[in-house]
Amino acid sequence: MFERGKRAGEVHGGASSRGDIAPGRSTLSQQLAAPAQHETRSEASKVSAPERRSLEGGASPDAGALPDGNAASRTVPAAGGDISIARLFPGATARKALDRDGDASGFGPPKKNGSDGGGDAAIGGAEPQQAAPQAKKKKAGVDSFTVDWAKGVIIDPTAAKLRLDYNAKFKKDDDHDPALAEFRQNAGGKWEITDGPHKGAKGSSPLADDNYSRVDDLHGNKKTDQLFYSNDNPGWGIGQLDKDDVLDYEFTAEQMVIDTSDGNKVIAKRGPHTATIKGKSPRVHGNVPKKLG
Amino acid sequence: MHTQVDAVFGRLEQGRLSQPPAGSFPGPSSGWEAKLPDGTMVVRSTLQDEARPLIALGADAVPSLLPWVQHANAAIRYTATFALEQITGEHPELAVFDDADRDGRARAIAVWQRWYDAHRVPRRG
Repeated sequence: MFERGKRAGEVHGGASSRGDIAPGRSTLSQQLAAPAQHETRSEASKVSAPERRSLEGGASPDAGALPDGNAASRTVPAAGGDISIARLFPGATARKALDRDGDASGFGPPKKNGSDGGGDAAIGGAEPQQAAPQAKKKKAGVDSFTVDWAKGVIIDPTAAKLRLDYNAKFKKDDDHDPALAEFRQNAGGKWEITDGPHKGAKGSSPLADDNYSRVDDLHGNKKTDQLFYSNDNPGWGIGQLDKDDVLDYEFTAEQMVIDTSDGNKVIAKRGPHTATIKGKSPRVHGNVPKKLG
Repeated sequence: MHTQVDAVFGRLEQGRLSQPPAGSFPGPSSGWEAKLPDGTMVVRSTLQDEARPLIALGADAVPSLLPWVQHANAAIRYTATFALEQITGEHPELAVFDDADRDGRARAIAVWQRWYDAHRVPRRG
């Protein structure tokens, strides 16, 4: 059984887990990201221009051809103005700020050096540059964030499930960028079959990150979108329990929206909340329904 | 390597999941639900379990996993994506459940391909 809360790097001992991006370092993901894409969820070593290797095909469908047939030629769009662009090309960010201020042409009135305007670039070398205006640093924000706890949607004597639905709407304005918001869930619980055919079976897992993220968006929303929807269905599916198994199950979870531009600071949190399923069929659900947020 | 990887996905395409060891009782599964191509409903943690043998294959499995990222079925795509993320540590932007986002998946494939190119051990002739 894949242990709940197992983090990415723990599975194979090599790759780092999500949310551990070292400030100022870019990943391959960032370098290849689409214009509106900002943060990736992992750290990876920098790679020098690798030898281009064609994708292997095989019997599987739709071998992953690249849209332009040449990933190595892909460049990072200069108009992104976001965190990853700023890290890769600091100048691009400054230019973006100039554009925003309506001074993008570079042909405005000459600026004087110093208070007396007596600077002489021809004599003194390079003309001292005015400090470029800093691009406004955006952050993540939340308009709404709800978590709905309910009985599982499966009604069957051999199943026992809970249902959690997550809905969030992220702020998108001059100060906020939805792509900077991430979703996290810590989950854990304990269970035991106290009587019945599987009597004695039991287990537990501590409250830990179970690797949910906005990648788990079931409506196909991208990180640049304002909306996020996903769900969780903890428990046992059809056929996994006997109708006479007497179950004692507790599931606890808390959900968070974090700001990836601010050290993964938690900006919204729901829970922790605990729900239960007890007894043999028909089993009794406890602490549901419950709407958080 | 292709054979091993394709065997896992071929099994999943037919809705045949790994069986727990005899005599064991499974703990609770978790996560969103999705349908395999044959209509079998699975949850996220089940697909992560199915990906474990793929992850165990290590970096050499990357080229064989890449084509499955473009599969028409989201559950299959997720399994391949999860395995690639675990092997490489790269989590490119990807909307797994957006069936139409082939370009986004192609960009993710490019990320993993470049990781593989940079990390594979050169074969000596």
